[in-house]
Amino acid sequence: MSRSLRAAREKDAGSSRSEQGPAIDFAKPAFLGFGLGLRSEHYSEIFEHNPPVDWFEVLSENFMVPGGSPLRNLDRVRLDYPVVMHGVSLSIASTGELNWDYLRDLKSLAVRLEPAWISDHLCWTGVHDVNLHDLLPIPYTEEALRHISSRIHQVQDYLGRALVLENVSTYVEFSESEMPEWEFLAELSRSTGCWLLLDLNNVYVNARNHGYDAVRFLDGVPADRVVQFHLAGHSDMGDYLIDTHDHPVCEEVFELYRMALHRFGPVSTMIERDDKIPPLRELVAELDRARRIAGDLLPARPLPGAQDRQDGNIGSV
Amino acid sequence: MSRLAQLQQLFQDRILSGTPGCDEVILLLSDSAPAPVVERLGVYTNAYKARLIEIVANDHENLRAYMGEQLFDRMASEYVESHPSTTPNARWYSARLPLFLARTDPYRSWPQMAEIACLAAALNDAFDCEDAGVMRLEDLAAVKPEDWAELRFKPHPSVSCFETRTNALAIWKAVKSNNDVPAPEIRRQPLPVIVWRQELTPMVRHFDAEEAMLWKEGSRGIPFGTLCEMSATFDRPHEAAARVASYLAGWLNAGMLAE
Repeated sequence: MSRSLRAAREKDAGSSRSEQGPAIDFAKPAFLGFGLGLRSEHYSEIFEHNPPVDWFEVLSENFMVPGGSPLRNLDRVRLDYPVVMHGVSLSIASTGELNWDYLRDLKSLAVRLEPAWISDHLCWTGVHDVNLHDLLPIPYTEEALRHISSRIHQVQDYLGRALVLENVSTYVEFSESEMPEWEFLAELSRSTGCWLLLDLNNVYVNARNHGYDAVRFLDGVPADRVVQFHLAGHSDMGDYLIDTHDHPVCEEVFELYRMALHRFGPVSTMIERDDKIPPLRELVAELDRARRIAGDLLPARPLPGAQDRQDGNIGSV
Repeated sequence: MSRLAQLQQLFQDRILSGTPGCDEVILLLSDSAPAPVVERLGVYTNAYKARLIEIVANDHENLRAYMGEQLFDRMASEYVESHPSTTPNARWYSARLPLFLARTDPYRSWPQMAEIACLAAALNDAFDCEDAGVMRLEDLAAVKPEDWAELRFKPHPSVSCFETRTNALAIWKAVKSNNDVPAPEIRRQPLPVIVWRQELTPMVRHFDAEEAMLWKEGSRGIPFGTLCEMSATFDRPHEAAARVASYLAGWLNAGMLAE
């Protein structure tokens, strides 16, 4: 164990672990229904109108601050809604050191929020203590698989729970990749017990950018490992797409969502918008479309709706 | 170094340098996709700088309005080039901007810019700093008269107090409220500024010289009685206690003192 890892663990008085090692919760998270990304632009509408959203995804780093309004608002949202935490800086695929200060803050936020799960991206954000604040691509090699698996184990040990990892949009592929992205994801999930957040827009973007069929991607991901879908918009640059999250979800991605529902069944679904953020009601309407699509396709398995949330029936599928 | 480490090093160097054209990284990438690989790699290199400039601009929107977008973006671009981010949280990326402005040509010839950046940074820090209970005027009602001289105070964690040598605060306020912006001035005497969070709102105002001196001494645990003596040497001695009491009431009402 590295000195920094040991130090982080020693600081971590709150966790319980047995002689055999840390206790990790590998249980599959329950279906949460239909959620939105929590954005500060929508606070007043959320507080005043208690909108029909089953849960919110919060950007972890936005709340990894000492105090003040951000945490006050978040606590208020948490009183009324389940949340999941979604980070961008775990850098799980980096060959740099794991950042234990970051992990300590992440864990402390998780203690405060009790999120249904903690997700980040299958990517790296920098090496040598630099953070490029981007979700950077990896080669899909056996070497990368071993390296990332070992880091996931360390993070899961420390957090005491299975991680959820998201497939990212990529604009380049490494010639030395030995397997397709979906196979890499599948293997990583199988070998570490981490769950998958399938961003269907990213699947669509990558299929277009790298010239393959998005359905092959879906078919390559194990049906029982996916616990969340992201739906989002992108920008079309002609020969390639950029994952900008500043547009409504396009028809092609909704179509992919239908196919994903067939394959994966009821999976917690959310709309992710990070730029040109519209009024909350527009996102709720877009989310309702996803809810209707899922309701039509999965009639035998009633999905919880806004009413259920108010009745406290979340998670009963 | 593992192959993966090597590849990440090359990729990162490419993003940080932003160099276009054919290079070692390009040779590692598959060129089977429809768009040219240089163009697709450009998505990462272009996004890197644009994203960090945007972070700096969001943290310093009044400075941007004051400098003008063109000059600000050029300055921010230089900051990004000379300051690779080392924080996992973008919230603290622009923390070194005041120092950069104070030390770098041509910006250091306009000292109000570094001071405006310093104000914005202090306000941003006050916004999300740790929470703490606030001492109220009522809390002092129970203090017996004989105990007042030994009364000590603790600043709220959101408070930062620093000196400005220009009229940065006046400029900042004018820009923020869209009023006519005063010409920059260098002062003979430094002007103390205090930034704090009242309830959930970051606040800023000037201290006069006496108030700043008392705040500084009170913050480091000097008791009320000694503060009154110090005040008496500063200005009209017979009014000193009343002045200190009045400053104290102001600090309490504004929520600058912790429980």
